[in-house]
Amino acid sequence: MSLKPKTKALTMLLGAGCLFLLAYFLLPLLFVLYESFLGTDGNLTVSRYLAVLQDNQFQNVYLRTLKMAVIVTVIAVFTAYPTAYLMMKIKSSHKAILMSLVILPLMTSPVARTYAWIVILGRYGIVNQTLSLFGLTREPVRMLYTEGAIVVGLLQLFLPIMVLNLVSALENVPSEVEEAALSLGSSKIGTFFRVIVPLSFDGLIMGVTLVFTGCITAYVTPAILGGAKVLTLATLMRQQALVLMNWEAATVIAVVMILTTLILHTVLKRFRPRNQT
Amino acid sequence: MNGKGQERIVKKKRLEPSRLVEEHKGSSGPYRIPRNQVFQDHRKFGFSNIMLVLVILFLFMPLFVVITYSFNATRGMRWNGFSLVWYEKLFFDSKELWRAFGNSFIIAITSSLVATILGSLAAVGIKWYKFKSRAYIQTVSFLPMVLPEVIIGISMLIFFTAVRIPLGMFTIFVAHTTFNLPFVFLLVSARLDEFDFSIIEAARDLGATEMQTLVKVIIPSIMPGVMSGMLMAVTMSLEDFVITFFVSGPGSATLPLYVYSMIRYGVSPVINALSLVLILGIMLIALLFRRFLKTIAASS
Repeated sequence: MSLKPKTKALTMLLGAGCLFLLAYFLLPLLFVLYESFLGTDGNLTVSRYLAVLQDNQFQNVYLRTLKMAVIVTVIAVFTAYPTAYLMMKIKSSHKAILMSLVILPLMTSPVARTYAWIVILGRYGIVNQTLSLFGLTREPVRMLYTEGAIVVGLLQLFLPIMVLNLVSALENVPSEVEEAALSLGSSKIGTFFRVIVPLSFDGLIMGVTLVFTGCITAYVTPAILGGAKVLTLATLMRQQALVLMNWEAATVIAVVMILTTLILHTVLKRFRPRNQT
Repeated sequence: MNGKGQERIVKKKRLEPSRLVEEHKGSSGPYRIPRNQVFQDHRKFGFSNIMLVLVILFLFMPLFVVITYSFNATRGMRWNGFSLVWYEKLFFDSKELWRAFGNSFIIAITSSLVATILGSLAAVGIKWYKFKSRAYIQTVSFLPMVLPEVIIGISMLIFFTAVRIPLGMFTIFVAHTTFNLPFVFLLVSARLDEFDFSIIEAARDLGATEMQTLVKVIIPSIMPGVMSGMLMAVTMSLEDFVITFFVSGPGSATLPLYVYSMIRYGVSPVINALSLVLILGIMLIALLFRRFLKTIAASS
């Protein structure tokens, strides 16, 4: 069904949304891209990129961000798979409760969720109080502002997403297939790895993509649990822009971050089964 | 073709061991393995069971801790008895916090209203008119959903600074409208996909003008999509931290920003109390939302 635009006012209204996005979203993005290639004398160079990429601090932060994302994703996969698998098996009434238990943390604000870890891991937090109560430590152990704290925070943030993705993928695996494998003499573990995982691989890749890119671009968690001591790509970018007033570096980091997520998306897409795109 | 199919069926039948059928006569179907055989290790403490419990515990431990300590009588981690002192402080002695909440509220209402109007109209427009750049517009409109929040935040910050728009309530409003628009657009488009377009033809046949068709036929029928889009926009706007953080100026802190700045000064039991209030608020909104959608679905 289509009509040719007849009413001018109507067309203008319809275009208003597009214009809004164009002016306040697309334009800033292109502006950042352009800025990142801008040289000191106004011509386009890659000198800003070279300066940032050769910077030692940037390299450290970049590798640390990737490392933490890998750790979080791996832990998320290994804990979410059995969880999602079991959630599939459970009676539907219990399943609804479990699903809402997984979704509820997703609905609460990331700031509040991350804040809770300060209460738990802080200098006078629960873990330290418990440790000193049993006389295990003399002085409070520093757990906040470490990589470990960020990993824990990110895991708590993204685990529900992984579980939900795997649940929806496992829902598409007919239970008869599993029963067939079992009745043909495959062991439980063998069935899981050779039947269930391959059949739910699409959801796994989706989950991995979401969690991994989410970890790389997360801001709240590293800002609260890592502070200025343990910088990640996102917090480094903000520090460069707002604290050091180094806009040049900030634009380059922004572009590098977009590129990293784009590359990840394309690489992980290749692993997805061909017939289900 | 017919013969081949028959042959296959015959082959299949021959392969079915009658012994298996005999063995499982008692179960629900002839070829089903008895339920307890497949599910047996889920009744014991299997690996999956332990994992499930651990995951749920891990997800809820922070929430649980925060809620527990919001009722603590004193500051700090030692339990000194039940009290509502922090709730009292939250509701009657936190002027700044409530001002931030006011800011959040204003931004959420205005930005979601504008995003809803623009997004719904754009969705109708995309469906209604056919033009060449349609696919591009759709792709661009999804970008704000896919792109990382930090990227959107920093590019807006750099852009606003470059064109000298002072950071403050206006820039937050613009940013929130930008990230809300695609969601409204998507939800309304989904609603329009189910829309029976012959109704429009009928309306036109009966002499309705284009405007009348829009107001009297299309808008009422996409209302559920519009409303759910708007509610989603309101909650996202209330919760957003990252983008707001980048585009906010002095005196324009929203609630998440205010909470963040309080956290930086250390643990405050008032925030514990606030967390619970927020969680309850979001659950309430979600519940109302579901009921609201149900009544709308029933009426249309």
